[in-house]
Amino acid sequence: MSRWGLTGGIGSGKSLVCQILEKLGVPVYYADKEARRLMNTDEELRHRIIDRFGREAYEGNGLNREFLATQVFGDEESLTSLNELVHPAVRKDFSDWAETHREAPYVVEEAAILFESGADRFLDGSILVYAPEELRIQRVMLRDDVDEESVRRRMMHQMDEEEKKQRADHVIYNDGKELLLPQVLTIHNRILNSNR
Amino acid sequence: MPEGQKLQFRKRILMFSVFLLISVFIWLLNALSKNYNSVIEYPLVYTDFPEDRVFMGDLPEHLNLRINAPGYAILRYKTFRKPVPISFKVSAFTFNRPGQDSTRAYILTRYLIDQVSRQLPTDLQLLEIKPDTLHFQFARQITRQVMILPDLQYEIDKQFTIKDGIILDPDSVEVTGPDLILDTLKHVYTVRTDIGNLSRDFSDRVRLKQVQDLEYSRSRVNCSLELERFTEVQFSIPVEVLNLPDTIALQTFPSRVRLTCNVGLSKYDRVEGSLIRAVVDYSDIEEETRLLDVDIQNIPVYLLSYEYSPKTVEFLKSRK
Repeated sequence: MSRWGLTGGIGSGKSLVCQILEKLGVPVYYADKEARRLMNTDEELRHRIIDRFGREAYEGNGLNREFLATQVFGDEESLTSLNELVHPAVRKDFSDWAETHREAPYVVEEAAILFESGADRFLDGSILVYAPEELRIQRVMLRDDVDEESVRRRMMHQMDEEEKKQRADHVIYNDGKELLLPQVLTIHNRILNSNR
Repeated sequence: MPEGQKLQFRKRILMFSVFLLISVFIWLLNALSKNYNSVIEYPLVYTDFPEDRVFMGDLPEHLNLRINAPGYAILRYKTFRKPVPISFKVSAFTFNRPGQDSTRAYILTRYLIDQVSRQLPTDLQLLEIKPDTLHFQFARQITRQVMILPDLQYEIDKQFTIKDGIILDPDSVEVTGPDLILDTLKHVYTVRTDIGNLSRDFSDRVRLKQVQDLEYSRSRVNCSLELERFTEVQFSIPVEVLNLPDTIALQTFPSRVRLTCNVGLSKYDRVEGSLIRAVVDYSDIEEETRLLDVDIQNIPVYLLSYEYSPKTVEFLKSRK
């Protein structure tokens, strides 16, 4: 069984590609969603976050997302230290999860910041879902009902797409011109063949 | 030419003219004393229509009478006579009804010859009346309540929409007229009224558009419309597959479409996205088909406009 990472900028269409892969029988681990779960349920991670950001980081039994957002917004050092706490926990969780899917030919970890977090170093390969910036902005504006400026602000924290293209093993173009399904099927078959 | 010869020539011309005139006069007397056939127009008025019926259509306003008379009588008639219209009492005649149709009747004008002859000078002999037949189309007079539709021209300021449509009070009118017209009349319209660019509620009295042969119980109605602001709502609608055989599974990508629409604030709480359907049709799939068109159905009437994305989806087909 091999482990693959799937990434792409905001609005690139990662979720849609994951939907297709799941339909093809590929187990998909959603890193961002699982990270949010771990921050609430992993006691060790919880203590480390409280040690670093204080008791206000949690309210009741849940993470105080609003408080944490104000702590890391515009503060590179705080953001880095939060990531350094969360990413190892996610990595371990993914590894445990992957073990439960040993029968699958390969599993996929979907992560928006796969390269930025260094998670790709622990995987067998990476897939990038690529879409032009303007198209991604339009999609996010429509999807999240937000203005262009706030989309661009969110994009600022992500690695340049061209750099991601250099680092990825496979690139899926979701630019509205090329069909997605044939590209996904081609990569899916290549990974299956490379596993044999 | 010498002066004597000129005088002689003028005398001859004068003599010739006098005899020419006498000849023409004698010829005219002779010609006018002879009998001729001619056609004269005779005005006609229709009276005394049946009380329980409404007459429809057009009837000729004059009859063409073919007459035989001495030339002078014809000349005198055409030059000086201002004929008194023939009064035609419609109900006094026994109608011929084609195929027992009580709404239609015809009269052969040859039966009018006696009546018309009495109104003509005695030296005019009436030979024939044209047209030879008068056709009458009648209808029963009925009364019915008919819905009124507004015919307003307007523009509405951005961010506003009409709250509950254009309201007419009353919304219907009692209409009386021939059953032939009323049976096919679905609506009565208001007179087209341009009320310009609206940024506030509108209320006024508007006239009803008249239809020939119909009478309304009122000529005006109150017309009003209330404006309200609208807002945007979004739904994520699952894509359904129509006409899918039992043995086939089909998954679309994406599996949902995003629908964005505008709705008036008063209807905002009423918006129910689950009624709206996004469908693709399995029967559209051919060998080369890679994309299916998404069709949006069951859009509630109070949604003002909508946009959805994507308009096409890819799909995976497999046997169950």
